[in-house]
Amino acid sequence: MTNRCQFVVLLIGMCASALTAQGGEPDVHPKALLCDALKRARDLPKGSGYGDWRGTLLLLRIGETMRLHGLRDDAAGALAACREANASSQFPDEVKNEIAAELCRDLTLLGDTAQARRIAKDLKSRSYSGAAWLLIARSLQEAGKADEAEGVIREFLAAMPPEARKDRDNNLWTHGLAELALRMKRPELARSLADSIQSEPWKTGALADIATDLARAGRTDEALKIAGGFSDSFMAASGWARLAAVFAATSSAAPTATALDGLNLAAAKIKTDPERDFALRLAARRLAAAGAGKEAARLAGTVKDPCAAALAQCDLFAVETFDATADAVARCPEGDRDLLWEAMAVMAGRKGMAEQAAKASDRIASAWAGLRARRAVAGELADAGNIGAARQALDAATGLAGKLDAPGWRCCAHIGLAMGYGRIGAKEATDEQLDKAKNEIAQVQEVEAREALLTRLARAMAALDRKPSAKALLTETLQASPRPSLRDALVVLLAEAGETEAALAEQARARLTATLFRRMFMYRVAQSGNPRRALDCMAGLAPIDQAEALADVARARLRSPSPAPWEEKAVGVTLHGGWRAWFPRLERMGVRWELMPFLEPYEAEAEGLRSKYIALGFPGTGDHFAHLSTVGIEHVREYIYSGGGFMGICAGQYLATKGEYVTCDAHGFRGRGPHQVQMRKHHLVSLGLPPVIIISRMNGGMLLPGPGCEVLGWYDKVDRYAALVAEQYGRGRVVAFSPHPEGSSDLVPGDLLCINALNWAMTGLP
Amino acid sequence: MIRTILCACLVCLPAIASAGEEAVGAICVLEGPDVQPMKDGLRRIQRPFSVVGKLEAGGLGECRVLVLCGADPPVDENGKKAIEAFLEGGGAVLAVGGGATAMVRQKLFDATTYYFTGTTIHMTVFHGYHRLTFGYPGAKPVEDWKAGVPNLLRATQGPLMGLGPKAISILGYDGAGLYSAAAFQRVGKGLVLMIGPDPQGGNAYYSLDKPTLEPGDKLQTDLLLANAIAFLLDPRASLIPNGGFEANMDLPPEQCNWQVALREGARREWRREGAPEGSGFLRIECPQAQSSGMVEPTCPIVVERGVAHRFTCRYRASIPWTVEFVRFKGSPPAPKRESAPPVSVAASPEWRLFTTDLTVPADVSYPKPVAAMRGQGELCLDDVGLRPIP
Repeated sequence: MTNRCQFVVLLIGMCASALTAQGGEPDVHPKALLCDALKRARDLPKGSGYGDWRGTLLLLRIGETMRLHGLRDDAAGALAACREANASSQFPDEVKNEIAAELCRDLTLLGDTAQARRIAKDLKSRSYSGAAWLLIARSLQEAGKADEAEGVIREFLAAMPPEARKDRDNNLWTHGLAELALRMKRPELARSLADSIQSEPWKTGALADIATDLARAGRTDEALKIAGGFSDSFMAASGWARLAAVFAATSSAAPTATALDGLNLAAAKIKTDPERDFALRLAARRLAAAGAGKEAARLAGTVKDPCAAALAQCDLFAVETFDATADAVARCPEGDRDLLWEAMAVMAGRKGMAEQAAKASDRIASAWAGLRARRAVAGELADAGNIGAARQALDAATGLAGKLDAPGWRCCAHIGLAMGYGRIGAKEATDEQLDKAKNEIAQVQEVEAREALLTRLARAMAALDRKPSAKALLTETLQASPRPSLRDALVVLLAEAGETEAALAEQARARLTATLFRRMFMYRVAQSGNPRRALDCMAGLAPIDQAEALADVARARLRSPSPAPWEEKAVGVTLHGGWRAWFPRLERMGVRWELMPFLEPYEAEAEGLRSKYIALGFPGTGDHFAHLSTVGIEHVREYIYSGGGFMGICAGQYLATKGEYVTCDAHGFRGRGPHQVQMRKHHLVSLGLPPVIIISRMNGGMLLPGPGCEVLGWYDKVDRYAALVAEQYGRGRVVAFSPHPEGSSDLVPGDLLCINALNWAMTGLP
Repeated sequence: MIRTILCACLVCLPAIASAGEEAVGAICVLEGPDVQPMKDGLRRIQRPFSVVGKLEAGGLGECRVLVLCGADPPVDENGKKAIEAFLEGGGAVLAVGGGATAMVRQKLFDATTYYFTGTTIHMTVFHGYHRLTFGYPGAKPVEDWKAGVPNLLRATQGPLMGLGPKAISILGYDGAGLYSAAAFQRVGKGLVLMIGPDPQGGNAYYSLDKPTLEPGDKLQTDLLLANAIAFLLDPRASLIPNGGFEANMDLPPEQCNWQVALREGARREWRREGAPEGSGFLRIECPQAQSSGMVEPTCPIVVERGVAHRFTCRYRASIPWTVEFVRFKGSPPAPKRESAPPVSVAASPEWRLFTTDLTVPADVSYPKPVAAMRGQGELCLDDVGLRPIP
């Protein structure tokens, strides 16, 4: 350790000399930048909790950026400094443990697995120790070192004390490792892991993974034998459904019947109707996807709740079942019907049934929901290659935009339609919609709303490759002396849109006021190939921001690593904050979940994130800004804008609002306790939910939505502060919750809200 | 029991005292739905009270503090007139939770109301020091108190208050400072203190203090009730917390109520011996001519606008020093700080009492005394107070 520290000091000295070697002109070689950042990070004053926290995270990021630049020795030094800082810091244990787990991953990627294992073993918290072992093993597996990964997993198993087997989080990570073992083609290892799990739902989930794997390999008897050990009713129904789907896909009639019997028996044992309905709907969907339409329809027919039954019908939607599905919708409460027609339209579009999609869309009474449905249908049809039908859907939606009352919402509608037309290459229509959007902005009275819409429009123009229009809009707005907050955002957008010279001229005229925007600006300028000019903007930043900016500029010089895409995309829940409640829910939803290292959005750009994750989850507690850094915030934005899903709760909601992924401000308001959230039926996420849901708040901000931001629920009866919002952002979807509905593990309304929200963020349907 | 009923009838007809309540007292609680937690709270803080069944003109007798609380205290038009008369005569009203709602509804307090649906536990921030906030956040805050005073207030379904110009906020919520959690207002000769969230209500939330509440338990929020009653019974006491430097002086400024800025080698010391009052005093030592020290309460002091106040302190100083009354104009949470001409105080090797009067300007609600010294020497301070002049 001492030698390593001496080495770092020596290295820093050498780097410092390199910086001054060019007569005061900063050396913009990544190594020089990162060494300078490292020196500054180490020189930061110690003792202030938050500063220490940020400083330690910065050391981690510097180490990781050095590794990505191939500076392995330097990276080892930075990670050693991070470990040292983390050990001596005063910030909360959870944060220290998160950083330690993340260090394990980075050390593994650096080739120092031995040290990573030591850290994982020394972690006192089982919750984080398990996470660390999972990250080590996964990193090795992704690096093609399956044997070494197996060794790590066996070490984890051997080191697990008997009492740990009952630990909730330990069961979670053991299940994660079992799933990894299957991906590594190590079924026996997976079985050992599954056997060590004490929690019935997790154990059943792990056994279902193994049984499904065996069934896919044609080992039917073994699969059925393992399935005989399913214990938790809900997870058993889910597991049997997976097996039935595999058998049905391979036309194995007898095993399919056995699996369906198992499914029916398990479903009958599920204690509550909502849970049973949910399990049956999932099962029907799986069977339908496997081509077992008849069995799927039979299962869907047993769903009791009218909304769940109608949704199940939507899942199985076919041309000939339109009327039956329409009947199912008619049996639902009136407030849900518009939303069900919307779901039906989107599903029809997804299945390429343009006529049925149009018919369902026509049944929607609300202009905004109708427009939203047609836009979604157009997107689905365009993805399926049916450009003509997509165009028709968009043209139909265009007529609805004028029916909206408020100019802000009309503007959002036109921006959305422009994105739709842009997707199908309809140039004139795209430009027309962009022009209309611009004209509507002029009608918006409220300053904040106007500003938000301007940035939305400029971003859309840039995304649609209308760079001259974007530049003209941005320049015109900047010339009108906007408020500093808008000016900052617009100058960053100018740089992001590739208009670096114009952006630099603006920054030279008057410095950007907010640190976050200044650092975003520097990153964008560096990305455009001007690192030296990016560094010119560093003056006046606080020491820690200067160090962060140096690392950002070095990161901007990297080409994003291109990880091998995952076969099945996952919902990635970041390793920061209260992730505990997320994984059991995702497991029950039958969705692949992964613990996302909090550095991953910093390392990977939008494309890299999309190759792995269908949606990202940012839980409550903590400070995602500090953990993501400016670069990560921007990468998450690009990820969502290009089609990714995002769900943020509490602190995660702050990321969405302050990061401007949603058109919504958050009003800080500390307090905690149950609120009677007044639900609204304007959005697919609200489908099937009761008018009031009691949800606890843990200091989450009050949300002040702007145009385009759809409120799912309010904190009051006067529609002043929203609690739950959702919004389409570019091609992606964002859900932001101020309170915490994710605490329960039963299918109570708060739980259904989470399921709807996650499903919508992932797929656009609840 | 007989004595209880008799006394209640004598003091505040047509008041009705329940069994167990002390009949005669300066404090009267208006009966209504969900007032039991308040009664329990008053008992825990050992404040005798009587119970008023209905508000009628002249019916409040010798009552000095009328407590309106619970979910929906019955304040009708007659009740409104009774309260107005009570306040005109110099009485004080403590309105919490539904009581605060009733006061605003009857236009007896200059505020608008906003309600979350459901109950929640509010965390408040000081808009300034006031008698109501004495003792908070205490030596061991539950969490990082700078983000609020956790668990200070529990809510029933009481209002968040948007204050008009006549009302003065004591506690707010962080963020944009749109709402006040606690505020006061002079009405005639009387005083109204409003606490939107009900510190004694919300019986589902005892778990914040203890999982289950047992007889004799002390709740964190009882201090708030005790402070409120003490303030209304004697609004003339000093408004500066920990003015004698007696408590928590080894803790950060946020917890000891005092912040000391030192330059060029100056030192501060909390001495426990030789104090003219109590058991501690503050000493600042400047070792050289360039040294300086500045002492001020951590938060501004919440005062009644346009009212004369008297600042007092005991001091011992080897060189002259100054007192400046910094003024905060505008609304919390970020009122504009303005300097005022400092008052110079002569050196004194012996302990002396310093007194100066100031009239708070009509546009200032939050002044703050700042004692400063510059140059080589020492300044010792004790028993610092700021009191409204009767």
